[in-house]
Amino acid sequence: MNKQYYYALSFVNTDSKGIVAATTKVLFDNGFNLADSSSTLLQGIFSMIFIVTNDKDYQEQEIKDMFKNVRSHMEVFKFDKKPEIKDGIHYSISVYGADKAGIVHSITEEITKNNLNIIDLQTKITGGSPKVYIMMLEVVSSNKNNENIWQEALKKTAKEINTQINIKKIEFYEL
Amino acid sequence: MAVREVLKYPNDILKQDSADVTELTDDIKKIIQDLKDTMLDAGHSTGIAAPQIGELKRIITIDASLNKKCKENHGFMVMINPEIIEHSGTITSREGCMSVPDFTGNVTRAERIVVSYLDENMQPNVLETSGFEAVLIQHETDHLNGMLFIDRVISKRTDLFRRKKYQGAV
Ligand SMILES: [Zn+2]
Repeated sequence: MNKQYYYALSFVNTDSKGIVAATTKVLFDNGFNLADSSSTLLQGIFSMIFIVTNDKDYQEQEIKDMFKNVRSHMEVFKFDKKPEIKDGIHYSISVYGADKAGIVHSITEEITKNNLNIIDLQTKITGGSPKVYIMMLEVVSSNKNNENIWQEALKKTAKEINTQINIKKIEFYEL
Repeated sequence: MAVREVLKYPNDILKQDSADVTELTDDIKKIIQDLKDTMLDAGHSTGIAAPQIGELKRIITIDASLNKKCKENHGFMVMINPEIIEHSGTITSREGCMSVPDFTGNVTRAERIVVSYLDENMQPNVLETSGFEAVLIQHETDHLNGMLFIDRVISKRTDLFRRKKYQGAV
């Protein structure tokens, strides 16, 4: 197999109608392989991220030009080799509480201090009154021996900002 | 003794229904032995179903004790025509399957089950189990109905995960 170049393409669009089909058509027509993708509607803004590969070495602007007829705000980021994913133990964490500024920052700062890697993060705010803020994360720890230390630290942080926190180790079953 | 090739999706056999076993023929005995050999050869596997080696017969072999963290289990078992006759509770775990090697997925299953089956001498049995062993039996029984764990993932973006490499049982 030829050397593969990796590109991350992000798109945001206020009108989601037909945008996935139009975008993936351009990718297909230009010989890109879809390695991974995530798309979702965030407050009415349709947001897509594609990780694509191609054996052609494009400049970022060349890729943007391919999409000039697809009405989206887009960014292209090129990287030379497949990015590594850290190995370790996975945990799912949920945090919720009355909506107020700084919840994500406080929690993620504590996660970083404890050398955990965030591999997924989603936040939602409920529509009711008072509004409730919900954050769901998946983190990876490379050290299985300090579980109690970082979990206690996170629980303390969550309490300080008046939120509830649940931490659960994710069990992988080979069946 | 024969270690067989484990079929991988999109092989169409994995999406088909398997037939009941009505008689313990030499063919059936051989399938049972091959399932056992293939399962153990895989190293990280704790169970296998006959369609995974290309045999559309309702037979599974499991060994929950191969998962080091599974404390309570019934060890190696052959289950012919297994049928889950009662279930309760829910448990979510991230499943991996030899027939879908590139992914793992979050699947919610019954936490406790009662399963009826025939043992390797065609004797009827009933087993009640919970936790990992219950998940294992449900996963393998699904294979007999052409169901893969990817059919059970609740298509949210957080439920299906690309593996960076095939990892051993943890
Ligand atoms: Zn399987």
